[in-house]
Amino acid sequence: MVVALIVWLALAAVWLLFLVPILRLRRHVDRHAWPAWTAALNGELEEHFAYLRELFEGNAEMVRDMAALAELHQGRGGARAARQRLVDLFSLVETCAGRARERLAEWLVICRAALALYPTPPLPPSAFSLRSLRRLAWLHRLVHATAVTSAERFRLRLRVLDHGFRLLVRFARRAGARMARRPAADLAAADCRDARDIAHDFGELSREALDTGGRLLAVVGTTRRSS
Amino acid sequence: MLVALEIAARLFATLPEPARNARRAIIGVIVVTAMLLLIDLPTPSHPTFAQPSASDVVAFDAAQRWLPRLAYGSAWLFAALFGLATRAALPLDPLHRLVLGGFGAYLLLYAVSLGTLPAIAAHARAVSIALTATYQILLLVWCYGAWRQEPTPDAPPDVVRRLWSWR
Repeated sequence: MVVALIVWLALAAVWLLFLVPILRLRRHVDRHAWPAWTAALNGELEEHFAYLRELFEGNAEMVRDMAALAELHQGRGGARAARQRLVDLFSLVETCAGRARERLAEWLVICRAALALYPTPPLPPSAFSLRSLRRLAWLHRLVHATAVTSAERFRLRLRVLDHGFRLLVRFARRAGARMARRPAADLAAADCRDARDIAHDFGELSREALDTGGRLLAVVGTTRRSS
Repeated sequence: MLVALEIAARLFATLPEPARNARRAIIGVIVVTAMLLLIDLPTPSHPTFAQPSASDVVAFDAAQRWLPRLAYGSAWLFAALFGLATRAALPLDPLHRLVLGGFGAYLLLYAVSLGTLPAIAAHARAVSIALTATYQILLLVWCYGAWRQEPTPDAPPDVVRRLWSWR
């Protein structure tokens, strides 16, 4: 009798544990579902994507310019000005990465409307300067080989890009904190190198995200026409 | 189970890929439930049956052996549908959400209560009353969900019609 009690309570626990991550994901879906499905099914995706292209490319360019400006100030001996540019850069990366991650979350919903998706390659590890992003790209390459369908690989790529932006923000925060621990007039060469790496990898991630969005646009457009 | 199948048919009617996944999951859950029904697991005898008649044995078998497993399988079916709709990023109709969540949870409670009946035999009457009361509350919640004024989804009517074709 006690065994039956334990078995049934364990079965109930398994059921409840299955629902915990789903309920968490549900909150995310409830927030993004209607705008994303509207964009996917209602013919607004092209305009939406044109706007996103400008946004992604503009953000990447802004981050790159900021890093170049900081190096320029440092080269001229203006440590304070260079430091201020780096603080601006780290905060800009955080804001832009947040925006990019919101778009990726929407695409994760939109891709469900597609009948099939074109094959997507894994992220190239050699394209990234930061070690954490290179590791992520290698991991992506490994997991990519185990995914069965193009749709799974596409969703995996979106999730990897999302995680990449998250890692980038974490690295930018750490670099900012490291810089803040030093005196105000002191700027190490490592700070500028970090900023250059962040700007480069932000550009790469944005380019990969845009490439992914372009593939999605192509198939969702086809799906819409065929239905 | 039929309620779950009807909701599945409505939810995934216009989306080919999620519908394919839903079909696989539903067939999987039904097959596993059928296997659970066929497996002859040892079931503890009921303490109140000293000399059980044939009809007692049939009723006891149904209550103790098959019903909890069937209810547990159905609870999994509801949970699987909820998971599939979430994985497919489908917005859920509020009534469907109430039915999937409420029925799934109730069936789990029902399965556990019946499955553990020998262990809680002393409180069987209280458990029976609690189950009936839970079901009545569930019905009231569904009535409220069906009759209340729902907020309109923040999307154009043709998108809503495509995803919620029953509206």
